Amino acid sequence: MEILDLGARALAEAVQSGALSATAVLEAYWAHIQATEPQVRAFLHLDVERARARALAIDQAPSHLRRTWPLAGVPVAVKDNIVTEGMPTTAGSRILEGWRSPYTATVVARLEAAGAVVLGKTNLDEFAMGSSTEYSAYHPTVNPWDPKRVPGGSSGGSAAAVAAGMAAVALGSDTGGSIRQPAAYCGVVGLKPTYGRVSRYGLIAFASSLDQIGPIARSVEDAALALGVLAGLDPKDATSVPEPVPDYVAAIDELPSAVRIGVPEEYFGEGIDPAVREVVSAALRRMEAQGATLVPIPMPHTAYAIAAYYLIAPAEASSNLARYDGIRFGFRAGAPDLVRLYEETRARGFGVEVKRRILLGTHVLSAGYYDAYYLQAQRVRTLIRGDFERAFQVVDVVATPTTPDLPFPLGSRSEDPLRMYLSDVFTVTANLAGLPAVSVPAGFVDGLPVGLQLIGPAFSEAELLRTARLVERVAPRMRWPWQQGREGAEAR
Amino acid sequence: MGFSEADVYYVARLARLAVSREEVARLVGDLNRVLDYVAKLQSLPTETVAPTFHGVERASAMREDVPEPSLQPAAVVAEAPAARDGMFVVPRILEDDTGREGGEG
Amino acid sequence: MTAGPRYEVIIGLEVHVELKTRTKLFCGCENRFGAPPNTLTCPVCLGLPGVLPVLNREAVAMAARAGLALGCTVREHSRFDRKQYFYPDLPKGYQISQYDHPLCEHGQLRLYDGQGQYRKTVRIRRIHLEEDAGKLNHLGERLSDATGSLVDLNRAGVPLIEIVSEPDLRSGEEARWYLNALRATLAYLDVSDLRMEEGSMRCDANISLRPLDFTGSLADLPRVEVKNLNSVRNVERAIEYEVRRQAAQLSQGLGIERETRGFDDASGRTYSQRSKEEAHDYRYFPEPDLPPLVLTTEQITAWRDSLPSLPDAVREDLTAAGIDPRTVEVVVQDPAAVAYLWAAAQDYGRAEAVANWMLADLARLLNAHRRSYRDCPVPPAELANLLRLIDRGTLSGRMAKEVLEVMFVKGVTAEAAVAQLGVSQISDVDHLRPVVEAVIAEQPKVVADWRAGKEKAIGFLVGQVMKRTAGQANPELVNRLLREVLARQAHPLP
Repeated sequence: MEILDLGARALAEAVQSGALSATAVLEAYWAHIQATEPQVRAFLHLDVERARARALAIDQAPSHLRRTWPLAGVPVAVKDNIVTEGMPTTAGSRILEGWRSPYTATVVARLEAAGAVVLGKTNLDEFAMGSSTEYSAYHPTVNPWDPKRVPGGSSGGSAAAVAAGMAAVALGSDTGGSIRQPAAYCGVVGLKPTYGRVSRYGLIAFASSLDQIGPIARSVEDAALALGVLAGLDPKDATSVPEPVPDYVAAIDELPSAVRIGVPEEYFGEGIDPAVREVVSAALRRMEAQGATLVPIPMPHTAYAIAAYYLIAPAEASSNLARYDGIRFGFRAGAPDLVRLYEETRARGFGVEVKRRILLGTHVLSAGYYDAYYLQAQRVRTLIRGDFERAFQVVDVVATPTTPDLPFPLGSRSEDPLRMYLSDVFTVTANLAGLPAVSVPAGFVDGLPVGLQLIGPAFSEAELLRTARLVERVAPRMRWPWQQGREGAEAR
Repeated sequence: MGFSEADVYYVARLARLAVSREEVARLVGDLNRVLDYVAKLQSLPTETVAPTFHGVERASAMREDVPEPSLQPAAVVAEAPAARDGMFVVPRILEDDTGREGGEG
Repeated sequence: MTAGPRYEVIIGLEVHVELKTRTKLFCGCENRFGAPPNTLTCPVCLGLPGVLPVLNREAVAMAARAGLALGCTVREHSRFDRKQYFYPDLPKGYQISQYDHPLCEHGQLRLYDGQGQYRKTVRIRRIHLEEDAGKLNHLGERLSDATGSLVDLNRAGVPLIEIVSEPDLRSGEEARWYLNALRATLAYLDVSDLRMEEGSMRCDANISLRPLDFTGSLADLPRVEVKNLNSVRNVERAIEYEVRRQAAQLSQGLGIERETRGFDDASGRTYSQRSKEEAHDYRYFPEPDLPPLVLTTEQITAWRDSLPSLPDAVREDLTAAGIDPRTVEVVVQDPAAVAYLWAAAQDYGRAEAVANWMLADLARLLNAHRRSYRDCPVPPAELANLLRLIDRGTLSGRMAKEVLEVMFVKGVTAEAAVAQLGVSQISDVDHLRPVVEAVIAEQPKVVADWRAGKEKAIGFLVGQVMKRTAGQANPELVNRLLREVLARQAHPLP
């Protein structure tokens, strides 16, 4: 049995039982990373010594303890906008180059307490602003399915690391689709939980009312396993909620028998690549054949979602990024006086897309524009929530394509920001409404993965994942990139 | 809604971002395209719709007034570009640098 | 003689008060003055990437109780907003404050003058909760010639309430009454140290002159804001200066510019800091990291029901106890003084005498030793004992002052202090009579002078007795005994 071929759950069970040591798992991954990472470039920072120490500690722990760790020995990767004491955190920006946080994010602490072994920090679009990971200040990451194409973004490093077999599970963050879109592009499962389900303490804020951390994994089961570790109230995050955390792995044991799936025509219309639409529609038809009911539903305010999102997110971002001022941490430009220090530090420390959003966000909050832009966008947000509330009176989940297109070639999109923004059309609504949403591989077009997105009511992750498992069951499979060319490897 | 070069300079000043002449020309184009696009929101009647400002619809959790350890002094300034006597160093503050009305409070 | 003023003075005050919670508003760092720089900081109050604020329940309680004591309505739903600007003492680049949904609104405060006379009621517009900024230490004499500054963030995140009055004040004197009344009310609640010199209470004054023929809205008057006044006295001085300055501008036909000014303590003048063309665009928006603050009616009612006695009620009680209104006005400012007074008065019986001793002698000692009634070394019962010693004639008033000082400095009882000083007044007739008789026997010439009608001569005899008793005899008693003995010698009993 190849260690790399095991999912997170299988790995954890093997380490729990002693069938595999955490060290053996880590060394298998490390060898694979050394061979693969130079092409994929999913990581901004790898720390094998730290990981080895962790793995050893797991192996040396009493077996009765190790058996209780749900992620015992599972190698994980963390998006580099999630802070980690002892490793640098850059958020993909020059302004944080080399910065070491004196504290660790709640999610990382929870992963480690569950026995996970953190390998390193993954690449992202600077401050999670982008859909291709090309806006990383350091280097682009490539799509493991086709190295000429982007992995998506902003959690492109995390999605690529999982798809390339360099991590069993990775953490991403999702403000407007930044977990789901790269998951779709990389053919993996990406879950954005309900807002408040997972602590944001230690997540470098992009848009605080939209941001949520979630798992990226090879399978729905692994995503469920990771969510169970991540979810729950955190006293350090006043927006995290005390809602009980169910056993997500147990919850997905059975496939749903008669799930009602809402299909909004607004998400299948103009602007979508017909090949993508066909893969998603085919998956839905196969689910129908398995007992699901497809219900056409109206989502009339979808057309306004991108506009609302691109007012709210930059507004909050402009405020959240004010702390990068060259005084307490991070990059500082030399300057003779304070204002020039601020202006030069920020001009040189931030990249072009971040600056664009800071300026846009500053404008929409400024005197005379707040009501027309920010306030109006927040009212529209209420209308979008209303669309979902009405839908969930008649359906259990809403299904859409995750993205309107296939992974695009590197360098093909960066010029026109509006065009890039419009590609978030299917994912932003779940953030605006605070709802859980998952992207599941639905099939392939010319060897490139296509994702199907499921959106559920607040705190319905268990049901959502159960339906996602049905997608997984009916979707066509291909070998993972690292399995390709290998004789006798198991097809997925 | 026309967004002019003067508007770019105004918000760049508010955001404490130095912008070059070339950048401004490009930013005017980029931002106008986005602002033209988001103008579609104006057509939606929303007088009776309450805004959604928060991701969760519940009251703020609060903490008890119990002290927790602060950072070690060395850790506070460990990442500072310039520090002295345990404090962060900033260069000269000109009179009109004060971000708030009336300067220090 | 020129005609009277052709304008009315319009003043509103914004007072910032630091709450004395144990910890900061949004993190667990201690809220404490005077610690070494940056030793009371953590990732949250340093504004490091990834941190989130969590609201301190006690700060909310203190702010709400302050609002209730000041007659405000406490909102069941209030909200936090970000006020955005760049300055090195503001680590996040925004201050978490409350903009359009403040915690408390629509209060009022009754003003009394120094004579204890009610003068007017000032409306309070709002009270909101916000975080304080850090402190800058400038390298150089003044900000203008400093080569740089050092940032200390110990104070960053300390809870503040901002109390905004309506523009109901009309003079510097009224502003003083307002601040005294405000300070007294907050002192009774025990929610702040209220030390203006340490910055735990700070005041900004908005001052404008309304021409008598002006009929528009007050909001349209050009308003001058004088920032960062660090004593009640300076608030009064700044207002008086500003009124004179603006009146002079108007009388010369010059307009008043809307601006922010500072106050120079040494010269007593205000100076321009920033004018309207640099007006600020704070880009307020609701703080997404803090869901709305929701309080229940029951909670608010419980706070209201548990308010302590407040100055207005205490003023009535003190006046009813027969204390002079001017004395009342001083005592009522300080709840610890009131508690002290009641305790001593209950023990001793006469509140007025206690109040007089507190105001004259005890106050002087407290000031001189930088102590307060809270930690007064002379407990109320001992002040009562001291007063009883005067009543019994054991001590003269003058002696009692010395005794009180010893009690205060050494922390001893009245009796111990009397013993230490050896000043007990001799009021024992049986002890004094032999001395008196001896002096009379030794001074036949003086006695003869007195009998001849030279009244002053008796003073010499009193002096002699005092000398023999080392000054401890009760002089009144000596005088009476001398006359008694002399009279008996002139008319010997059969």
